[in-house]
Amino acid sequence: MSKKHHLCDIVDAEKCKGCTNCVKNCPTEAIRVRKGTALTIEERCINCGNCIRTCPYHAKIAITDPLDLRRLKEFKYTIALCSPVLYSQFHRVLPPGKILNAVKSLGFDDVFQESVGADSVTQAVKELLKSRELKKPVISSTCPAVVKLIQIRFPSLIDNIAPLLSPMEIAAKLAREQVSKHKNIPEDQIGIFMITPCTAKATAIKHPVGIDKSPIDGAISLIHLYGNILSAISTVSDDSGLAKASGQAIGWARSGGETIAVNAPNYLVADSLQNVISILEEAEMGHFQDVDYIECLVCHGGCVGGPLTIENPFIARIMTRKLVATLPDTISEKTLERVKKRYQEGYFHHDKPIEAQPVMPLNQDITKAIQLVGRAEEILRQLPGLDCCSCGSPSCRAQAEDISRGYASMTDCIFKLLETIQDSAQEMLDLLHKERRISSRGKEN
Amino acid sequence: MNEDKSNKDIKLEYPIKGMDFLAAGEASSNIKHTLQLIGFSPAIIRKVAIAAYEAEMNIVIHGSQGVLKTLINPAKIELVAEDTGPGIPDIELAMQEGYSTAPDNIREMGFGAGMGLPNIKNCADEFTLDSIVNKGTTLKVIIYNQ
Repeated sequence: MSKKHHLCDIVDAEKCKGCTNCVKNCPTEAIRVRKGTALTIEERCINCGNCIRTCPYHAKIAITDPLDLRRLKEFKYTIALCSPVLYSQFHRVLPPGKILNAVKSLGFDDVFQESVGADSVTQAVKELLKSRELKKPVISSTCPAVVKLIQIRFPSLIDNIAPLLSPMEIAAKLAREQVSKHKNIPEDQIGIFMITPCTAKATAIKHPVGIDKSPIDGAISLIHLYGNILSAISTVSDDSGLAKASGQAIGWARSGGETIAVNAPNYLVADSLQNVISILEEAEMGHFQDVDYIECLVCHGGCVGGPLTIENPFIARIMTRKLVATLPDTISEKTLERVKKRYQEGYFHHDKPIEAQPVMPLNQDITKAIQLVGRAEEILRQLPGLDCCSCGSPSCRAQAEDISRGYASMTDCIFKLLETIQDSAQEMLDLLHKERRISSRGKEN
Repeated sequence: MNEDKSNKDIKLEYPIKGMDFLAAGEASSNIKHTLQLIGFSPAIIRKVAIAAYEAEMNIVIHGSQGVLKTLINPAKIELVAEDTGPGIPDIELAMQEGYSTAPDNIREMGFGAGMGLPNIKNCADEFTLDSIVNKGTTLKVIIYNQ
């Protein structure tokens, strides 16, 4: 199993009550409650952030850079890279230039839009689809949680993933090059920090897919920085020079936005995890061979539904749509030509293939695994089938698999424990009766 | 669902009801999950999953009652789909891509495109189809783990 992946979230053991809300809501069955605390099976976690969203005690915390922005001091020049979701979080449409300027005023030397990357990726995807180098359906690589989900659960679809860097990565590459060139600062002295609504992106920065090192240096949770941005907004002016991205690129903040921009003839859009899983299940069956492009996003409504957002995703969708309508649709001809040239040079492509990370097998040895599966089936028939989660596993089936692997025991099930106690109580009673019979017989004699 | 006591093989058996679209796909989904737990390669799992799904859907669409049996061991995966449906009068014709006898209401639901049997054959290393009109059909597929 891969050792490279690390979690984007931690459990605050003090706050965790062991309530199993996260266990039940984890789409990849990656969480177990053991000894009263939620534990994540690292290899299974796709960093979707559902556990952070559903924990009623706020015991699940996203690991991002600290709010005091102390890491900014490590660099000579710092850039905040802003997710387009940020523009949708203020109840009303504000000019992106004003919001970006507010972020900049918090202590960054510069601010860039992630959406500038989306403008490039839009063209790169168009070129990729035109080239027909990939088999249909081509699956978008934009959502890192979807890529991870495919790596662990749908490995046969890896070759369908567009081998392109994400808008976040492209935007960071472009920002670093531009600043280095114009300000004459060595690239390694520029620190780029992503202001993100997304836990999976925070992880993708630490452990990128398709490249060895991420062009981004850190992630700052949007929800943590929100208060500061809000207070700064009234004090700054609208610097329209900061807002270069097209309306279509900003539209990527909601599901379907990417598809509108890419404009593939035959497409599919799915958001929220259960829907994404069911679409990928069908894709794996070979059902979508006539579909050119699939946009899958694990959050409800797309990135506007990210776990580190403030605004209700339905309202954020409307705010995004309203903002997009005020902006130019696409990029200039000149930029377009430059993007096409860069595509030919391989600027947008991954450096290395995406690897499968199978996490399901019960054992590396197939004969042994078959025995364990047989045992799990046998155990499953003995369990009550209530999926009550009291044992700390998400379902009786998952618990049967855990027991078979040796990670759990039969008496973790409260119903089985009760049976065991009843049985031993009965045995004790029987023994007592026997003892009485013997001793009374002794008296008779 | 039953399963063999011997350690070498796993036998799974799923009863399938004709026109039961609520449960349709569950058997093949369970088979796929089992193969993933065992750790077969993605390519093998994909072939078995497609064959099992199409076989299951064939019983749902055409057969009145049936069963999907699976035998799994390290060397191969065997699927047997038996039903008591209408049977196939002309197997050669049924094997042609696009040929379908599914009724219109089924086709309207997006099923019955006439690709089921050809798809199964494409995935199979061994493929046998026996059918008696008005009695039923037995489909046997073997996919080797290689």
